[in-house]
Amino acid sequence: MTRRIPAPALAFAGAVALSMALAGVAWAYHTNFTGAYCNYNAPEYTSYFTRDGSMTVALRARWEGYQWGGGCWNDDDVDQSPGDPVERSDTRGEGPDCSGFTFKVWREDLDTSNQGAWQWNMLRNVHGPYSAASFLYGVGAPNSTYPKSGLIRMDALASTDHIGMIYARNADGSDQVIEAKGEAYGVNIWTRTYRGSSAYGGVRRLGWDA
Amino acid sequence: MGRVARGSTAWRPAAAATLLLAAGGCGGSGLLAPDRLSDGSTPPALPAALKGIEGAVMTGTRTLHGRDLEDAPAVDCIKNMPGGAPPLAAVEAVTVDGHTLTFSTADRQRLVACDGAARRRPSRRWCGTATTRWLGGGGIEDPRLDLANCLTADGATVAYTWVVPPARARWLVVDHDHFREVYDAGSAYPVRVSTTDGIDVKTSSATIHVRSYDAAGKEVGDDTVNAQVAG
Repeated sequence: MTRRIPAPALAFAGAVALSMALAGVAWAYHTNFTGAYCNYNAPEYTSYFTRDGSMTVALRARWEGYQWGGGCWNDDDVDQSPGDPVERSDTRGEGPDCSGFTFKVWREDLDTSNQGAWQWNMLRNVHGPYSAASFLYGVGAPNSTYPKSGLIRMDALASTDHIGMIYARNADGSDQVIEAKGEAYGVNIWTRTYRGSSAYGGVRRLGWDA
Repeated sequence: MGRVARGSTAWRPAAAATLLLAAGGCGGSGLLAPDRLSDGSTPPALPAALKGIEGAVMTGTRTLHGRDLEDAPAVDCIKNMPGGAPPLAAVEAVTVDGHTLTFSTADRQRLVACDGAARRRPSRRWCGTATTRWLGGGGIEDPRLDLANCLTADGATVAYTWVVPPARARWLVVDHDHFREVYDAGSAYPVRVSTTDGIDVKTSSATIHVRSYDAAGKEVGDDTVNAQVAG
């Protein structure tokens, strides 16, 4: 037996859909990656954390997407939510932004007074309390400003608008930086000259075991 | 004597509860305007048009020009900011939980804020900074929530975020758990508001309820701002 939907209900649903479309809600959720796949599970405390370990965490995000205010991704090397409007934290797309990526790769604590390390699962949606500017100024117990000339892999270069971590240093003095670059680019490794830019300062995550 | 003493002790919680209920306005709003701003100063008088708003406290707002911007603490904020040339003007607000300075870069392409509070973790004058693109029409790209580093004297986390007032708004009224805070929205800049309420550490976000009023005290907006740390 076919169950008929009453006409008033259809009209109501249509009106809601139309009003949401007009309000821009439909595109705001685009793929709704975080709603479909991400979680708020507790992270695991780790008493031993290394730069190599953080490199591994970072590389899992390579080729994934970028989400303003985001911090959840899988490891299939595809941006699951391309083309979201930029600098909208409500678009629920895949990937981190630059500061969320750094927080998660550096395995930091949501409590800014705690220097301890936490293993955040890729699909744990977490951005952390720091913006790029916060990192630049060494805000939070785990973070410290550091002379740019002394930065090594998995240290970071930050400005008031952006942060990326050093993957390797090139012979010409530039760096290969792993970073969440933007909606159109996602997360990857690019050659950068941040180290020579006056807008950028050095940042170091404190407490590495190796 | 002993009985009296026991009786007296037994009455204390009940009496305290009664007083709390009375102070809390059992049947009233329970809102109580603080009598001091974060710098210890007495809050300015409420605008006449907003006198009827219960539990409201006025923030201290002033616009800094020229030489004002060469004095501390403004100069400590401005010297590290992008844009090179100093701004023409900056809006300073002293709130119940902290103080902020908002200005545009000289090319008027970006907005910058320095956020301050009673306590901050590194020993700098300002405990937070924020910058975002200033769009045509007065809008901004992102409200730039900042909650990483500023604390009240009691150790509570202070969150700051920009709120873009609706057209015709002259005042913004921000709801806190126990009072309301009135901001002057008369400048060209978005208003940098601060709060210790509505902060969700787990999602690094804050939810702030803001009502807007025109110069005559007519409500022209009622919004809930959901801001998220980003970028």
